[in-house]
Amino acid sequence: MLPDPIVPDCMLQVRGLCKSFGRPAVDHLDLTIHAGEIYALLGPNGAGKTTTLRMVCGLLQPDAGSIRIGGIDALAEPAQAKQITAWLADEPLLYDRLNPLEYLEFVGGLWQVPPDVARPLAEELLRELGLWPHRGEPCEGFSRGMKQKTALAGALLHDPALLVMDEPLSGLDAGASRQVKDLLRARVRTGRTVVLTTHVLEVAERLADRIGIIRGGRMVAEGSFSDLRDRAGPGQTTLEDVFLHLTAGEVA
Amino acid sequence: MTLPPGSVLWLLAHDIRLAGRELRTGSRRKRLMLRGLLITILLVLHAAGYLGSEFLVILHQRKPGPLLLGVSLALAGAAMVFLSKAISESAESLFQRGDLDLLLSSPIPMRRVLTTRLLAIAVTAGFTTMLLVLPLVNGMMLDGEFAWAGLYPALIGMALLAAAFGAVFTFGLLAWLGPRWTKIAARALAAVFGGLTFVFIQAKLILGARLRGEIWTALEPDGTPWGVLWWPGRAALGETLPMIVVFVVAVLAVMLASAALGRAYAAGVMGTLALPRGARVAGVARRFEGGTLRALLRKEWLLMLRHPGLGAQVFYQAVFLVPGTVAMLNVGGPGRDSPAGVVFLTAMMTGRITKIIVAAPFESDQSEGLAATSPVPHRMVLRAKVLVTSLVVGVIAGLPVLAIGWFVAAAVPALWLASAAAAATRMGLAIARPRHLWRKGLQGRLRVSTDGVLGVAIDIGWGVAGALLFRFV
Repeated sequence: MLPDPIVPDCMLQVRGLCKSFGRPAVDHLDLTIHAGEIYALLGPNGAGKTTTLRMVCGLLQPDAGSIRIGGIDALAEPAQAKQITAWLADEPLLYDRLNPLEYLEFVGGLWQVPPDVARPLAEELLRELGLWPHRGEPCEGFSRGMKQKTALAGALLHDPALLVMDEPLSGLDAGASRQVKDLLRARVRTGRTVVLTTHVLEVAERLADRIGIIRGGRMVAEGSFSDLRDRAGPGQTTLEDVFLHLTAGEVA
Repeated sequence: MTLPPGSVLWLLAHDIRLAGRELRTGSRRKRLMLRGLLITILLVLHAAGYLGSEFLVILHQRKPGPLLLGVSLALAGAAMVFLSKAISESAESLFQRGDLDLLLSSPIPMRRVLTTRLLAIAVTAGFTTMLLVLPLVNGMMLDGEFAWAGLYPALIGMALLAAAFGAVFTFGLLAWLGPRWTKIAARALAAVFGGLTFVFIQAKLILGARLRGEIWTALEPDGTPWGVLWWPGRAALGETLPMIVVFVVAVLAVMLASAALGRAYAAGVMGTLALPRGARVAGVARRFEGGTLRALLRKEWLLMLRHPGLGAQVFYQAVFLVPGTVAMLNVGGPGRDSPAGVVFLTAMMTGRITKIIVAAPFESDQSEGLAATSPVPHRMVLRAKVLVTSLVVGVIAGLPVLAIGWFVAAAVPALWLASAAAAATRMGLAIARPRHLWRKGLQGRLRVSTDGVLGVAIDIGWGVAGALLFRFV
């Protein structure tokens, strides 16, 4: 079989991705995400969103299919692909006994970020996310939102070309949520790519350049919000209307 | 000195830093007290080594064979402790730690992470034993007996070998049983090796002097210990070549285990992180019947049955009971059995097992708040737990009662064991109150820890009282 042709300007290219846990969780999924865009992957509970993202980040081995990140075959050369990728879990686990600076120091080491780059960047990220006053406190006393922001700082420390996030705004208050969204937009303006899942459809509607809706591990619709609204037909004015229309039968 | 980021030593330093931070918890006063206590123990051990070295030197000169046998058995016992700890640590730290997501998503090769974990497991497995033994060695060296420095490479080598074999066992279990059952099976396996430790430590009592002599003669008819099995012992007694060989073989074992299992490790971590949930779907026809108490009983029963480590924990205690009982029977020498010792041990272990079972419904209840906020009286919730617990205690802790009644042929110890189980149930219930009622923080932890110590003390007291009762009544 010939390898899939590389799409120019494509940051993430997924072809025929399959994963089964007894029953199919992801079923021949194709995705093409361009550099410099925010892509929201939506779907009902158990649709296969997290499984897809975990396979992209090398946390799960696919049963079949291919994954290319920035032109690198992520299954054949996982270390190179991981070097330009960052993963942010929905419930990030930090080291309770480390403070945010120590955590970032460790993450910087994992991605081999030179100290003279990591030090100012860590400070900048912690300041930007409002964590600078807490830089010396152990993470065990942090609220869920503070932990989420610390993990986000860790994910951004090596300046990843592809940032993959599972429910990045859950647990954040309105102010923190705004901070994160601004940070993501700023990253995307510099050519970085963000792929995220969310159950807050308003976030996807306002933040994402393109939206993919999956159901039963398969893509059922993809495009900008206006594309999806047009596709769903008259009367579907919000993303919630469109989502419920396209996933009818699952979300009942 | 700065370690290269992402290297094995850098990752190991990170693990050591985390372990160090764990020790920093608690108030400044408590930390100072702990440090003071540790320094005192180390000084006492150094002094003991210094004062006792002369005796060991004389023993070495007069009875080199039996000393080598004794050192070898002690090392075998230590190796079993290391292996037992390494297996349970492997299941825990290789596949359960919360930072696996972060490490797996980083470009660091998983083989390197595995090597680091193996080294950390070796440190964890050997730490307590080395903390107790090596100061003695230092003391002996202060007295000029430098040959005993061989215990350093011997024990470090044993710990490294245990880590490598522990990982091999755990990966074997993973391949054989899958991720879901690996942890439970690893605990059971660790319990078996833990039991073997007891056998080796009590070998002197279990074997008896004549049998020990026969074994020594059978193993080494000409009295010269050249077999490979003796090399760790000879290394410990300061022979240069065995020292080097034991250490090099241990390092090679870790390197080989890392190289061979590196790929399987990444796959195993992925498998563990992706465990499917709720595969079985039960029918609903017979559900929702029978009222509140029955619903509570059913839930407690299922939680007990599906408790991830209950079977292994009970097995762990039972494994110690069997060789211990044999040792106690032989304590008075051949032909002079010691049923009082057996009663002591069995009563104590019955208490231990009972409390583990009693704690299970509370430990596995992850939604105590649900019952607490429901209109069901708290007494009924507790009654359901007691009923289910009593049934399991009756079956499991009842076995030693029957066994001792059969072998020792006395009603007194059997009845005593039953009362020990009942007392332990009451104590266990007092300790295992719902978790949402526990106070968070150090005071809460101290309270739980104090309760645990009190529980052990009561078990021992019950054992001693049983033995005395049997002896004099």
